[in-house]
Amino acid sequence: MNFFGNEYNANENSLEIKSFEDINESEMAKNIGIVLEYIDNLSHNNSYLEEYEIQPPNKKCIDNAKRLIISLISEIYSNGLRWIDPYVSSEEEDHILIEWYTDERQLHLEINDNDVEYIAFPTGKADSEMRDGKFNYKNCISHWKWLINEK
Amino acid sequence: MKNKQLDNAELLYLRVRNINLILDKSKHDYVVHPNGEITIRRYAFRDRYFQTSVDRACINTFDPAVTKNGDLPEFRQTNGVIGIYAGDINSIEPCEEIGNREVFVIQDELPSNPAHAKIVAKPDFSDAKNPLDGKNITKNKRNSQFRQLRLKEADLATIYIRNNGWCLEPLDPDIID
Repeated sequence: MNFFGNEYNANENSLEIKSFEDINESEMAKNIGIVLEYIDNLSHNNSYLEEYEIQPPNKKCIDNAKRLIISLISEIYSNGLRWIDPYVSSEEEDHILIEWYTDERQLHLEINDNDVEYIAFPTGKADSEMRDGKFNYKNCISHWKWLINEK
Repeated sequence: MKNKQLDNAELLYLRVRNINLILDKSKHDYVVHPNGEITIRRYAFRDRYFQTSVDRACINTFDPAVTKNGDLPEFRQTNGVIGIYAGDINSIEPCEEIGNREVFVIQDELPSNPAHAKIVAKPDFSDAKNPLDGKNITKNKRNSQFRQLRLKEADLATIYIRNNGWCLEPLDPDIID
């Protein structure tokens, strides 16, 4: 099961967000809007991309990142957890990075055409305690709780 | 002697940019947390040729301003400078995430910058074929491995700055004319 619907059955998960209009919570909608704008900026603002001779992310990758963010934020709010504003960037045309930082921990998502991979580690211990793998509906909340240090 | 590996005790300076773009955080090289702690992001170690540039502090008489001013004119005023020891970089172990590469810092004196050094990997990230096993490595895979290396480097730089502070604190773009 991934965030992009290929193996996802909506009936199995009542928390699925079908569209942006489904979101009623104003704070949640505001945060989604902010991150969607970060993602849109990846293809609009090219000074960084030009400096490093990088192609902007393709449409499929951008759509995947948007779908992921809408789903993830709704899951987080549904679970009563606090949201953290992420850093969104791209270094390849089929690749978008979304990163969250607290003073003690980091969670990085690498989104491509087909799936999402995560890297998580306590700051100051990347060489010894880095964890990585697929990021999906089953594990997203446990990773988020780890990030914000919530039991 | 050219391209000599640097001793572990050598202090290196790395420029970080302070760009105040609220809706374009992708270019921020570091994060300042509400409690004042700083986390260096991997973007501080970006390099299109997979060899991050640093400056040898001792060659610049331990003046980080020289490193700060080595950037494009539009970034010079607000840049900050962080430190990291060559030994920190040299201590990164070859592992699967970075393609089992060795990582070290070598001097790379340039006419425009005698203090220039660079972080290199062996095998190089630009090599399409791994000389250790002869297998091809896709560009995406090499990019991914370089990203992982930069995460480790950024984490080491974070440890340095949390223990020692800025070598040169960046300026707020809002107070610059």
